Amino acid sequence: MSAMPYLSIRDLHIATASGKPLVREVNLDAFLGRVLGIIGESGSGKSLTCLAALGLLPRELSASGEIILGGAPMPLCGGRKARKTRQGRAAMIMQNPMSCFDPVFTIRSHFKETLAARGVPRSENKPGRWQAALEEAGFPEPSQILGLYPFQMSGGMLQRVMIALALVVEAPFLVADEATTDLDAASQARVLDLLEELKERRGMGILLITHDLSVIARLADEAAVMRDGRILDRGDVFEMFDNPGDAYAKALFGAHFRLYERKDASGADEERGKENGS
Amino acid sequence: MLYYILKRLALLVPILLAVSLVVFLILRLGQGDPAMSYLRLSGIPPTDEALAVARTELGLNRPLPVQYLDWLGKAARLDFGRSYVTKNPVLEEILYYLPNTLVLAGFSLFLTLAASLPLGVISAMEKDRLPDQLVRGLSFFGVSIPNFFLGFLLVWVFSIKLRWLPSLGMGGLSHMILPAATMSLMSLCINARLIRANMLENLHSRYALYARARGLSEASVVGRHVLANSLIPVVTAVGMHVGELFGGAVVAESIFAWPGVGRYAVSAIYNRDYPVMQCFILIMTLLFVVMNLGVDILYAWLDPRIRLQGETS
Amino acid sequence: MMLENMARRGLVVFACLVILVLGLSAAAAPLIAPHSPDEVDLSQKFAPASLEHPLGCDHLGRDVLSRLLYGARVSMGSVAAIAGFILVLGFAVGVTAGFLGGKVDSALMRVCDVFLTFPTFILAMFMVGVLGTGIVNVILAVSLTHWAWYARIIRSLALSLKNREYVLAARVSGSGRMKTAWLHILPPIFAQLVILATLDIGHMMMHVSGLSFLGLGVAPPTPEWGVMISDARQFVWTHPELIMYPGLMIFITVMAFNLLGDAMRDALDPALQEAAH
Repeated sequence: MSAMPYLSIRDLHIATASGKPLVREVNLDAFLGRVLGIIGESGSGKSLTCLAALGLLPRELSASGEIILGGAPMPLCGGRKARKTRQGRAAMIMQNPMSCFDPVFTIRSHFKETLAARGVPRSENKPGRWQAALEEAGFPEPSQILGLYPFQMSGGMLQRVMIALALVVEAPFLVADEATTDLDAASQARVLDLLEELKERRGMGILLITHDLSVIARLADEAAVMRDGRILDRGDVFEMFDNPGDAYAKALFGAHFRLYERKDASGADEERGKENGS
Repeated sequence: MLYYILKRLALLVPILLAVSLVVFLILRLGQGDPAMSYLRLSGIPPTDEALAVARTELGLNRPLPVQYLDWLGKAARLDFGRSYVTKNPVLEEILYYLPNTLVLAGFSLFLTLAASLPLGVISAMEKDRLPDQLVRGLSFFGVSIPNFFLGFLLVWVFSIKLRWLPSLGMGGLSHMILPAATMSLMSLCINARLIRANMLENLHSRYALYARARGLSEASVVGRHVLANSLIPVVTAVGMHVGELFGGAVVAESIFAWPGVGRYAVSAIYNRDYPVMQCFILIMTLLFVVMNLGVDILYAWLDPRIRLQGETS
Repeated sequence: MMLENMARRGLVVFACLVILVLGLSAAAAPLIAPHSPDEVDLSQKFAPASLEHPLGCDHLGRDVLSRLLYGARVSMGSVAAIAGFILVLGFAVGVTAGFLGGKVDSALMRVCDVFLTFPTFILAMFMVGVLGTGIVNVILAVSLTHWAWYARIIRSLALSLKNREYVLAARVSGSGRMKTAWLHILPPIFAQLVILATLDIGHMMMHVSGLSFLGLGVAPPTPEWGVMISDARQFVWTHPELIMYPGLMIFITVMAFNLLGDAMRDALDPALQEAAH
């Protein structure tokens, strides 16, 4: 584990143009080779936080605070400087992958333009590289995928293509915003397996945003609970599950465990063991 | 894709048949006594005898379905009869004037598309700022001005006051500008609004966000992805514009004395020259149907979701 | 932002006032027009604006203002007739097709499709050409060329509403089929129909005046704005104001209806923007 956080967020405040606060006093640290999970309901500000981390906040919102990504300061207002900072440092995978791809462009086009934007010269921007990334993302026949249009693929496949796009630019850090939310159980498991593999094998750092506690339990090393734009509780994931500090967090975890309630009194470890397999 | 084209082409036949039936029915319903107008235009006094002869000649004594089939058969052989006024074959006369109208309409369509594109894009990119408000304001005026009024306004400003452009007649580019502008302004404004709406929707789409996240420059995101997705749906609007352009051509030809098929048709209406009228509507509708078919095929080709229907993995 | 909203609201109020004034003028034309619109007086040929003739006289010495006022009757009246005709026909066909479905729906939609295959203005020209000129035939022609578009939109609205929860709930609760229709579906459909019609009135008016401009509409000497422009076309070099007055009248009327229609649509149903043009 590296000593310095790869992504460091200090005192992040985000508000609408009219002053309504959306994210308040958020402080987070994420490390390479570790997964930081953010749990919260919709509207808790978790997506905005990760957009801010990538310099993708919509222009209408105002933000203050300090974000350091991979050693470089990330401008909160977005724009060209944010793009330059983001490139090569972090990539994103998102919810509802079908809507994230341009419907009239092939997968090949998406790869080519992503690398071109990264500054890769034409001589190196070739199918070989794209197929290697697709293979790593779990596609045994990557050449077939390249010629397809997004509508010709399933959500689960597209999610893995998004991961492949993150791999092809060699980003050491991944932001996964509700990446498994729309997927069926089988696809979800595949994606989570892949993410775990990337963490172990490539030492990637992952910021994992979700409202699904089983995903957190499966993948996260640290977790933070967000509500109404604030971080209520933060820490090691095992401790959070066993001993949530905040009342809301307690209720959240409590509700989750009640889904897995078993007759014998073995306690938390048993339940977590069950989730790892689900 | 091929299947789509063939299917649409096959549908063309019943559509055109239905069109011909409607035209024929309107013709017969409204004609009053075709024999009478024929005689009147030929300058023959409508005695009972002359009427009877005319009726037999024009085949008006036979039952209606027979008349229709006979008429349809003739139309299929491109025999639309002779003008009551000039006695020349109608199709020949219409085809003589038609190219002039097509040139004007084509230029108008070009103006509509070429001008609405930058206006729509700028309007969207500068949303709610001055350029957008100017374009929206002008658009609003543009769709409220009747084309026959606009034509004279343009003549007054550009021909009379500024003396830049001629006000009458057919000719080169300088003769085409005012009539084409008259015809295209409304469609131009509607199209610019459409492009603006599409672009605004696509600028905030998720794939635009994902493209930015992947590191694409704003220029790339807008110029490649947003623009492509915004313009493809506009293709279907072209069909609607062509319909308006045909109507606008009739008015523009009247104002600017452009010798096209619209002006010819209007004089045929004054003269109750039924053969000309029927050929006019059939030809114009045929052109309209073919244009729409072309537009639909183009759209199906451009959008891979339609082009590759049935090939989902 | 605030200023923009106020300006917009101001415009809408202005539009309503314009329509009201025009409507009233049209209705009260015989009472308020200073002269008879047909009164030819060649001694007053091209007379400039004066107290007697506030907008001057045309090439036949007829009072322009009076002709404009009477012209309003023709324009507004014919458009009202067309709108009424289309609303009734489009509504009847659309609701029947949408609600009954099946073979009736297919048959009605085929009929609509045939009408939609023609370029509208050309078809209207042809109808007038065949049926004869005159304002009644113009109204008929414009109505028959426009209704199909409405019928289609109403049908899709009826279809979407047919399966909505509240309709299903009403049927389950025992309301008869007809009663269900009348109480639950028709009011929202009618509202959206009114919005569409308002937005389209400008278009209809331009077709009516356009046909009249071409000489295919009202018979002279009946005043109509399109005809007035046509009458004055030969004087565009010497007396352009004779074209400007009626042209501006059409422009202002169309603009007022467009403003009103836009405002109604924005207020009542933003989703309708996709269904229309």
